[in-house]
Amino acid sequence: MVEISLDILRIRHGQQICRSIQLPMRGRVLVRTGQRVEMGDIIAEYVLPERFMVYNVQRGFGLSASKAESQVERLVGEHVEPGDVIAQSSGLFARIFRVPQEGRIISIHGGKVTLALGEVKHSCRASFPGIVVELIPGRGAVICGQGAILQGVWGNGKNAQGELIHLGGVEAHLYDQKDLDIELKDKIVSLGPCLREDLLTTLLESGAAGLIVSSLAPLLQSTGMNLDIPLMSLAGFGDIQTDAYSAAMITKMAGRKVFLNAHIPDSFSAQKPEMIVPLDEIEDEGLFDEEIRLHIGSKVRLIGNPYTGNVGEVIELPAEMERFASGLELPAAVVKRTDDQLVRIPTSNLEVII
Amino acid sequence: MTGLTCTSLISVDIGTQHTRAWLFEASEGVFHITAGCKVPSTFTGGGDVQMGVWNVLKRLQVLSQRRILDNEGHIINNSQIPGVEKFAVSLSAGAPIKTALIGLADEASLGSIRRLASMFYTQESAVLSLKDGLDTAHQLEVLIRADPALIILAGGSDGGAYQPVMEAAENISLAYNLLPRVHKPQIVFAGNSDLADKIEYCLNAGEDLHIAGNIQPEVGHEVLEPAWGAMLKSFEKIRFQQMPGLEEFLQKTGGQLLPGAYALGRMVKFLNRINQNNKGVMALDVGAASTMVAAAKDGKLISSVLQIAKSDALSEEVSRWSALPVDAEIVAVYINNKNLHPASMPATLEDLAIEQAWTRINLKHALRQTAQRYPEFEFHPGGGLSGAYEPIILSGEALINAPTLGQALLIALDALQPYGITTVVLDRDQLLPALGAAAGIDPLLPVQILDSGIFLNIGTVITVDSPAPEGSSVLTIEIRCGEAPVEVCEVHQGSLKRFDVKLGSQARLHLSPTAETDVGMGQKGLGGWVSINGSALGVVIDARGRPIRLPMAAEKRSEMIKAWLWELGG
Repeated sequence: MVEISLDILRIRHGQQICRSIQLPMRGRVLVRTGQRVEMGDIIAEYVLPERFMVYNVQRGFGLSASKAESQVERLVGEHVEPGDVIAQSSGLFARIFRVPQEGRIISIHGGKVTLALGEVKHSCRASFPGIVVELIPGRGAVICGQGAILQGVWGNGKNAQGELIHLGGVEAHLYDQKDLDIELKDKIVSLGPCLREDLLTTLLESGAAGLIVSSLAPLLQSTGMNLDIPLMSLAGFGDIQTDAYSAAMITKMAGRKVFLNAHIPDSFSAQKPEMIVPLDEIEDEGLFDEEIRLHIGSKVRLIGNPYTGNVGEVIELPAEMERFASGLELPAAVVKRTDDQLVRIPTSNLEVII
Repeated sequence: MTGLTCTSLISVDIGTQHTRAWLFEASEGVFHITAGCKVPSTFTGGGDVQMGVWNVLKRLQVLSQRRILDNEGHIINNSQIPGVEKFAVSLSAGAPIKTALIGLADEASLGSIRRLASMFYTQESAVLSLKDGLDTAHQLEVLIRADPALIILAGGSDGGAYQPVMEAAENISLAYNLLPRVHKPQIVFAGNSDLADKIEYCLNAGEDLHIAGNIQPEVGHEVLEPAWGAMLKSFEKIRFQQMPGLEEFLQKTGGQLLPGAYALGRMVKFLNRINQNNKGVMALDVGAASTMVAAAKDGKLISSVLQIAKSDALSEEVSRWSALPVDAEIVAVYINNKNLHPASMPATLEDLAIEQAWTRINLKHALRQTAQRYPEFEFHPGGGLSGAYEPIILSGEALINAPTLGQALLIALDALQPYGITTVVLDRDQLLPALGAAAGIDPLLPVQILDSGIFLNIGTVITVDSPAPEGSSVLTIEIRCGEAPVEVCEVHQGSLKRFDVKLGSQARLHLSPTAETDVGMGQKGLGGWVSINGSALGVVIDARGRPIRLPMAAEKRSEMIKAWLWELGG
């Protein structure tokens, strides 16, 4: 058995899809177990103050710190409304500190009153329709649905839903709005490599809800990050055509409502961007993946030159390391590509498709 | 009585790509390596760290024929293990720790905090200089927005200023209580020691507060060591929160956790102490996600761990240093895809050329950043090292995976541009962090293991620094190696030359530099006899000038780098 850390890619029909949707901070979970949620429904939220304000009562009233604090008419933790008096001095020309905005007193110390004003809600939302199967106290929930899944390797962190439309591969190099005689508004548009900024611009102007490209020019990465709509690259960067497995999935799902979650890839959480297509039929009942190993028969996608983006099936895992053109000796696999060509490739340069 | 604290010890090093383990055993009072191995790490994707450790221990058990796991394959609590008494753990895996640095002033306390944080793989998410006069509201907003996992507060010499530090502590206390983090931030206080009790009372953060010694007890006097203990505790707590299984593993084994860079720094400092050559010692580890730089000179440690360089301008720079002519665009494609698949390996010559050029740039970037943090670090982005370091120890996947030693050496020479005479060695098994972790349990262990010769001596490098024009003679070298005929050679400015001195043999070199040429013997024009040990590549004379200048044309650049590689054996 070859012992390598496996890069897993999910391109799969009719299976249980469960995703943990969590806040980065502690907050309030707003769903209950068994509840059906739609994409965009708030699962949990937390609140942070919008701003802070400090009243220097000591300086304002010209008093010692302890005397200043005795002029404060409220307590730490108290909720305050606009116009509420925080502190006031006595005398003919009394000075008054009033609250400008709803908030809370968080500190009275050293003659100063610190307020947390306003609130900004941060939430996490369901990224596909499903049932809440588990609550994560203070953080979120696990949502499960069933359908098809198509993962990519890079995304810009946005999500959207819409009808999937496939513009094809090479022929999708349409750089002018007038050449796009298909209605793309509010659709999730799939196409081949996106190597020019004007193609992105054209697609944006068409009102597409989201974009799935087979690959992206490196120079478009920062533009892609700043888009308001989700952008997912299936195979990464450079000029890479859509692989046969992804193409088959896209073709089959074209015309259906899909959910595009273009997560920013994170190797620490193994989170990948993905398209989810809810389906009624289910082929695999398992909630959890079995232990995934690279074996003869594994479907794989190839990484690195000269085979980037090719797909095929592992037909041999030689026991001995092999020397590659680079001069490196590495554990290798023999892969039969979809065009029946046999190629030898380092096992570290394989994405296992499940 | 052997003087050893134990007779068997397992040291585990958990890296981003691999988890490694070594079993050290003592016989007749001397430790040796019984077995060592590596397996893929398992913490990514929220996986349990213990899986990787368990896998590596299973393999170690087979290799060493020593019982480490019970019948169900679980790690046996160390009190029950008849043979393996102690566990040490070093950790270089994990995302950088988001850290807020709060100090009195840029030059003084903030600089010291930055140096303190640099060996614990931190990433600055907020920097507050209390001299900036930021108001409380602004400080709070910055802290809340930064969402740090670690807050380091320092400032004030002992008996000195306290008002701004106490005000900052009050704000930290507010942020600590307001931030609804899943895990509360860890706070390290390394400022005015007189304030320790007040800070403790003010913050009221229980075990999340770690009081350290003052890193600037007197104005202008920096000592980072008193804060290491507090930093280690906070590091351990943060990594326990981030890496499932890590705490359980350490509890089961009684192991002690050290950051990889800390363990590496400990070993480099130790090597510097035992070194008799009046030079510094340096170790460079270029890993999959970060680069570690550790250097020690005159007992003072310089240590930092830095993320792999990422920027749009990077592709141009990498393209310039590629041994094959490649466009910046192709480089950008390679780097971006490598970031998506960090474990992938170059299978073609072009990919290898890009990978190695990128390693050079990563090393340079790490050295430059280290020099910014430590003004006393003798590295200048233009001209390379200006101080003498020997040995220079290379490690990390990017260097140990180079197909030839010549390639690894050239990467290091191009990035470092060393000074004077030095020996470059390779820590092929990446043993140094594991020894550094083990040293905390038994200080004799690394001494004895180092004595057994664990490094591969790549070569002795003599750097010839001269203002002479390209092609002119700058050094005459006479080589006497055993019974072989005496070899005399002229070295010309701009050249890189190599002479074989085989492993196991010894040679004496006589260096005669020209009047304006410095070969690191104390002053320009000064030469003399040098004794060297044989090594894999022998003696390398680097007279390429400082800084190394590459031709403008891509083809010529590539030819030049290939010629250097050829000289170093391909």
